[in-house]
Amino acid sequence: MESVLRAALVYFMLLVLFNLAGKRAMSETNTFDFVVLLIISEAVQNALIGEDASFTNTVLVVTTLLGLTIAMSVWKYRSARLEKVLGGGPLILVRHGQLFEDRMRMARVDVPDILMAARNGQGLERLDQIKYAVLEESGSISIIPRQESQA
Amino acid sequence: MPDEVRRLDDLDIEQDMRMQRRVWVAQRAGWTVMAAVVAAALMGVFGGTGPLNRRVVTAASGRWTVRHPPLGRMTAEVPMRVAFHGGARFNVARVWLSTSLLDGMNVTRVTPEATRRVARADGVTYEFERLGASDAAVVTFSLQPTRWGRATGQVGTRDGERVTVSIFSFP
Repeated sequence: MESVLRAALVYFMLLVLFNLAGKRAMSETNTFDFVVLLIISEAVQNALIGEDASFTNTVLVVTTLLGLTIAMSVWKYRSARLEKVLGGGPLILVRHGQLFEDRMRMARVDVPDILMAARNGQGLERLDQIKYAVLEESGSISIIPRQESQA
Repeated sequence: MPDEVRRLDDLDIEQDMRMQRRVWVAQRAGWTVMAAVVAAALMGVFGGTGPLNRRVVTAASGRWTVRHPPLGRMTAEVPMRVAFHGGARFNVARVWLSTSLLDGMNVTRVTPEATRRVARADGVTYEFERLGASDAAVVTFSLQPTRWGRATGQVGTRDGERVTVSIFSFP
C-alpha cells in the first residue's frame, strides 16, 4: 500500500508544482533548465522508492504513475473545465499586430519570445506580419501570419 | 462544435479569459505558499537545522542537559547531545534511553563510542568510561527516525534523573 500511496502523492505533488511554474516555464528548456529537471528526477526518486529497491516495488510505482497519467488524460478529455484549470487554455497574445501586454505580463511572455516563434515557425520578420500569436497549453507560441493582402 | 470553442473574429479558439485569470490568481497564491514553505524550511520548521528547530531540556538538578531538534524527517539523522556540566568527570558514565523513544528511532552512531551497551525491557543503557577526562563530557547520539510521527521518550543518567524528549518526524 505504501508504494502506491507514495507514488500517488509524488505524482500529485509534481502536478501541482509544475502547474504553479506555469506553462511557459515548462516549454522553454535551455541547458540549465534541463539540468534542473534531471536534478528534480533524482530528488524525487528517493521519495518514490525509499529503502525498497526491489523489482516488485518498481513495478508498483511505475504502474501507479502510468495509471494516474492515463486517468488524468481521460478525465481531462471528458472535462473541458479540468483542462482549463490545469492548463488555463490557449491565450491570444497578439491580434492583428497588436500586443495584449497585460496578458503577456501575466503569462511571462515578452516580445522577443513572440518574434522568435514568428521567425522559427513562419519565417516572419516583423510584428505587424502577425495576425494572431497564441500561447498554447503546451507553453509554445503558435503564429498565424497575416495574409499578404492584409499586411 | 464543442461549447468551449468560440469564434473570435475569424479564429476558432477555446480561450476562456475568466478561467485564465483565476488560474493566474491561483498560480500567484501558489508562489506565495512555495516561498513560505522555503522560508519555513530555512527556519527549521520541517526538520534539519534552523533556529526554530532547537530544544534544550535541563535535568532537575541542573547538572546535565539534552539538546535535540524537536522536528526531524524520516530516515534523516537527528542528533541528540547529552551534556554534563560543571567540569564533570566520570570514571563510568551511564546514559539511558527509554524503549518508548527507541521504538521510533534507530541509534546509528554514538560519539564517543560506548564501552558497553545494556538492553533491558525499559530501555538501553550506554556506558562510557573516563567521560570528560580529556574533553567536555558530552555524548552525541545520532538518531534515525524509522517512522513518521511523534516519538516521545525519556533520557536518564546513573543517578536516576530523567528528562522527557519528544521528536516529531515528517514523512
